[in-house]
Amino acid sequence: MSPSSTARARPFPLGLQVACSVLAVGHLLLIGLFALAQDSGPWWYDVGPNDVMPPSGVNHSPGPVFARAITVNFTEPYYVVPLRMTHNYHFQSNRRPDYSVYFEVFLKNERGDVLRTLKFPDDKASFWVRHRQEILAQNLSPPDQQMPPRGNEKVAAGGKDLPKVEIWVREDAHTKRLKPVEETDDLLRESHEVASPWAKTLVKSYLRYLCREHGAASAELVRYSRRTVLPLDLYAPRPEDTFKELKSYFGEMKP
Amino acid sequence: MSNDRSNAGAEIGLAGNAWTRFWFTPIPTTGLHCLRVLSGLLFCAWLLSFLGNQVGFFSLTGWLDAEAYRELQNQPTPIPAPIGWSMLYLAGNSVALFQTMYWGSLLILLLFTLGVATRITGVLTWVVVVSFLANPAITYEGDYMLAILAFYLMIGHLMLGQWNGNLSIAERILGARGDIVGTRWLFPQAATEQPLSHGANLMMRLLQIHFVIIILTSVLHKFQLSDWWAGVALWYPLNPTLQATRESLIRAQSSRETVLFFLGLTGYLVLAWQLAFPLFAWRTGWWRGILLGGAMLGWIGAFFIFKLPLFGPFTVLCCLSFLRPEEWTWITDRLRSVWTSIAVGKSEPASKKVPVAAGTETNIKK
Repeated sequence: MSPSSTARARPFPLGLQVACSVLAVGHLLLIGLFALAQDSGPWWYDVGPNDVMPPSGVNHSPGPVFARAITVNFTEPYYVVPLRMTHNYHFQSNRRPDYSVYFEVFLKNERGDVLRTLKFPDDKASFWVRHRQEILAQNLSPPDQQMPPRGNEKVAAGGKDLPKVEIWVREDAHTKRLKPVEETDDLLRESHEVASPWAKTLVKSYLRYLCREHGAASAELVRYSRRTVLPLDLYAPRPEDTFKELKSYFGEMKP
Repeated sequence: MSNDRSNAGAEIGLAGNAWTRFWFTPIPTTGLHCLRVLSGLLFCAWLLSFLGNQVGFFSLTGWLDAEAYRELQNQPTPIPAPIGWSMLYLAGNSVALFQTMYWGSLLILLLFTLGVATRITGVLTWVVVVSFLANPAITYEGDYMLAILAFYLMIGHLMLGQWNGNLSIAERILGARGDIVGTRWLFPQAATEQPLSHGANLMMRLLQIHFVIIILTSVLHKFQLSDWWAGVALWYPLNPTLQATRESLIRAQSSRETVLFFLGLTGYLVLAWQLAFPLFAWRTGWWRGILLGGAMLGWIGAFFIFKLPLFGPFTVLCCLSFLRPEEWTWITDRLRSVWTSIAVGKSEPASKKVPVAAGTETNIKK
């Protein structure tokens, strides 16, 4: 910058300098603390016998208390969420995905005949659309949630039925099906997986959309997933079975 | 004792000067304008990439419909991306209104890119970018980076020229006429040299430091993951699971050492670039090659290896924000001279050019 051009600028008043400094530092501090407050890891831990968690294992560690306190009480609700700066810069792409996923949708008519089968991500879609379809598919990715303990046996209110619970029921090593079962079903005595509420909402909404778009009476979504291949497989490839896809039937849904 | 005090006072004064120089030195607005045009083009390309599927992606009758949004708001479990506000919700179930909003948004982005009423279109651009983060089912991290860029460009254009710009009232509300791309051709009588801006510098500094926070957080996150330490993090996107078979992996065994050697080396170069970023980002000279060369390579890597379209341009734009005013001047002068030489070359008939060149050659021989 030439000295002559600097001379043309009016000096910036000290009061404004202080105000701008406070705002700038405050803003960047909140952004920095927001990033710092996020969980880190996974780390190996060994805390010995205790009542709170397993004595050793792998877990994520929460951020420092001062950063979390400021973030939870102020930054998140009043600053980054309204400004939509909610990303914490712990990028998902830094991390290896545990599974790779694609899914198929079977669109059916009133009689239950399959009208059309759609695959997502669609090989024929443009790069941009395919990219978004990949994100959608990855949102349905396993692992599914472990079902929380059922507690005491539930009893229905007078004249009413107990609500059913949807669990993943294994049919064989490579197939599982989402099935509603009674609270009193013996299946619930064993440990089972359930679809996350997020995945279920997403599936229902997407199937509603596809039914509307294609004029179908109902639709069924099947998720195909495979555990991510590892560089270790270059040294000692795992058994052939590892490379087979797990089919997960989300069940038929009507809009 | 008094000598010590005066030394301490001088040191505080120097620190104060450094602070003021860093944040409040008025700078020419060339950098901000270039950044706006390039970011605007990126925003337009981003929004156009949804074309044909915009209703499915973002409307309340699309992939994630109104019923799903209601369900998600009542769910106790966290979802991948928070659902915030969006102007697109105002369209409700009306596809026509949604389409109007989409095309209106594109128009706003275009006007902002061209520099028309930047104070208004800057704010609207931020609203548009943030609004198109509405669907957590298809939003990815690159989208959020665009919102950061749009936010600082909005702040920069709101402040631009307010203190030092000698603007009319209309320009104070709408934005300076000098912001418009091609002002020299549109308003030749009014085309004067733009005054220096404190706001442009403040905005650039905020963007620079925010980007440093992003880069450092990202590299510290990578350091928490064993794949980056083992140098195999880049192997995964290059070997998509759904395409791999046991046989293909056995075939790849013969070249595994070479492949993992170079992938590990590349991975560590990425870590080194990110970790050292704050040390070279503000340096001039050949450090600029590391800054911009690294950003360009990152763009290529993010696109071809990770298949992520937005991280690359975002990184390049943020790295460009570190350029000093004289470097922007150098770049724009070079581009102008290249443009002029091309234009002159095109306008001159080929028959005229040959004798000049021949004459010059003859003179040189003599």
